[in-house]
Amino acid sequence: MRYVDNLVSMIQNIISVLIHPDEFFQEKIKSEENLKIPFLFVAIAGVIGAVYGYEIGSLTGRMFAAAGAGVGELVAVSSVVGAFIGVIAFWLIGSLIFFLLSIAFKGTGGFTRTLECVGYGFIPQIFGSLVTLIMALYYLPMVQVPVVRSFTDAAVLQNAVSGLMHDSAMLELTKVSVVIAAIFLLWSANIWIHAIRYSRNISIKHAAVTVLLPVIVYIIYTLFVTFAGFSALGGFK
Amino acid sequence: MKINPKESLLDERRSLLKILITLMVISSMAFGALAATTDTSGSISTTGSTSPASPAYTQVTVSDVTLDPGTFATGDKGTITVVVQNTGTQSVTIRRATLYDSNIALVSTTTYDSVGSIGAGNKMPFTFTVKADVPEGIYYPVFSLEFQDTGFLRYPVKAEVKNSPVVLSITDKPDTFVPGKKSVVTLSLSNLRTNAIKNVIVSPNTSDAEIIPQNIVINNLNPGQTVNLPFNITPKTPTDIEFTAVYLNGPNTHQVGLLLPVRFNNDKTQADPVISNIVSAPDGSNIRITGDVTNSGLQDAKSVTVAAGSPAIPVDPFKVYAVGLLKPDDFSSFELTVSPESPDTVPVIVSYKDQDGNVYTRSIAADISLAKTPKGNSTTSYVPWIIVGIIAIVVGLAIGYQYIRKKKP
Repeated sequence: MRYVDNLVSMIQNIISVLIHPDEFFQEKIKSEENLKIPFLFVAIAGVIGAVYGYEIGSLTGRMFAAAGAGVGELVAVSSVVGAFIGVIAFWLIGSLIFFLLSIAFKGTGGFTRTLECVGYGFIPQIFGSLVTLIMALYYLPMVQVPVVRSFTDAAVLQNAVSGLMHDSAMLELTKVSVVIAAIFLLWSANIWIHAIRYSRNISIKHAAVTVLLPVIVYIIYTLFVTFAGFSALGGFK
Repeated sequence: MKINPKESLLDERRSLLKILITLMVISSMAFGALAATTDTSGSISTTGSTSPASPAYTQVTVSDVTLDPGTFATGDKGTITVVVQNTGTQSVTIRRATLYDSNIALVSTTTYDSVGSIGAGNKMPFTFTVKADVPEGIYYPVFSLEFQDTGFLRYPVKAEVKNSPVVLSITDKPDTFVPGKKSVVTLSLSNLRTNAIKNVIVSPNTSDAEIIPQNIVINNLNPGQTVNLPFNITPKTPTDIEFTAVYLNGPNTHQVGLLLPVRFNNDKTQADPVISNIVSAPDGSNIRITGDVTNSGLQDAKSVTVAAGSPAIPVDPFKVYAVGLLKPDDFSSFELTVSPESPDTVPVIVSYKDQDGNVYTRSIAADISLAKTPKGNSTTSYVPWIIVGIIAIVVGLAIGYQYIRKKKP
């Protein structure tokens, strides 16, 4: 019964974070700092991201499979590890950015509290990652994977990667996943505003500026790169 | 010391007698010698000679015999020249000269029925045209000289008939011929006859190959001698090249032939560029074809280029990809750019040159239909975007709900 109670409590917390973030963090700030639950949310998002990374990595692995034994597996494992660590790094770096920016507004809370509160903001990312994974499972079977037989020619390697990225299904998946990520990032940003407000003890306006400034810049950048194809920024076209 | 006159006279008479006897002995020896029969040539007949002094015709001898050709082949015509010399001090009148044999036929139109005189110390040739229409063997046609007054000179002439061949054979040739590729074929011509042959012309006869030189001339080929005859052959189509060696055996023209079959096959050692790993992908508004070309042959492939052949429409930047030298077992990647207007299957052509500059091409079909698929065409589905839109609305409502709720008292 205890586990059921805990589960019910966690679901209530999740709903509260998603629907009533202001009240949730208002209450949360009164309790002891605890990174376990936020880390759990971040880890779940990381695992789902890793699965997505595995799917993409398998695709890349297939591209290099003919070049040598184990290359495909190496690429897939690298993608899984990279995706999981990437989510954790995103949590840490995002929290640090919010913490540093809030200094400008004379924020007073500690970094651990900021980390804890920002971690709760990753709950929408779990849903976002799930939706993205479903989209990947829909699109990836349609991708035509070029085959690279040797790493000796950089031009061929580049062409193969370019060919994969320019595959119509791959392009579609990229666009869809970027839009989904942007939507759920905005949802997370809404939560992070309240999280920063209470964890750094600043006004709602200052918290909004602290959060929305880097988030909006990031979203614009990814959307611009994906759709406008500004190659100097790493775009596909 | 006093000399007796009687004894002195007696001595003189004795001396005269000795001289007389000596003269008589010498005279008798001289006449005896003149009366003897002399045979200087070993074949001169002195029939009818009864004079104690040898007649002048006995001084006529055969000094030289020449046969052309030196050795006849069956059916050959030729000449036999007999030179006679008058070694005496008087001219000799020759009535008739002839050559006869039961096998070797005399075909001369010129006859020696009234020859005339041969002066002292002079030579006189008699040439007879004969035809050796006989089997192999050694024959002795007899040269006969009939003198005006009396007497004959008969001389058997040795004439050999032998059909030993002149052999034309292939000494060296390539394992296979390749269209347009120059190959060296070496023939050898051997004279197995016992006499020299002259004016030998060895020439190929074909219009389906370029052959250098067009013919080879050998002025003289001695008995037992062999010469090598190299020909550079660049065939155009499969053919049989007939080589003919025409030569003279005396005045007779003979020929031997040799057939060289030229059949095309892949040179087992030639360069062999193999195209593999072909991938096509959209490249901006064009299609980029990439792949590898590997030289799996045993010779260098020079000036290797890769291009998209017709009906593909090559466009910049890679209308043609120049690889250059490709050593055996070496490979290079290539890339080509073609217009999307090109058909679904385009020929990727690799061309290269061999050591002699002959150009070879290989072609492989590349399917670019997938690369031509318009972006999103195969995957165009609005369902994902509808889902994304619903999610966006849900998220928007979730965010908006909390602010609306907040504003309510």
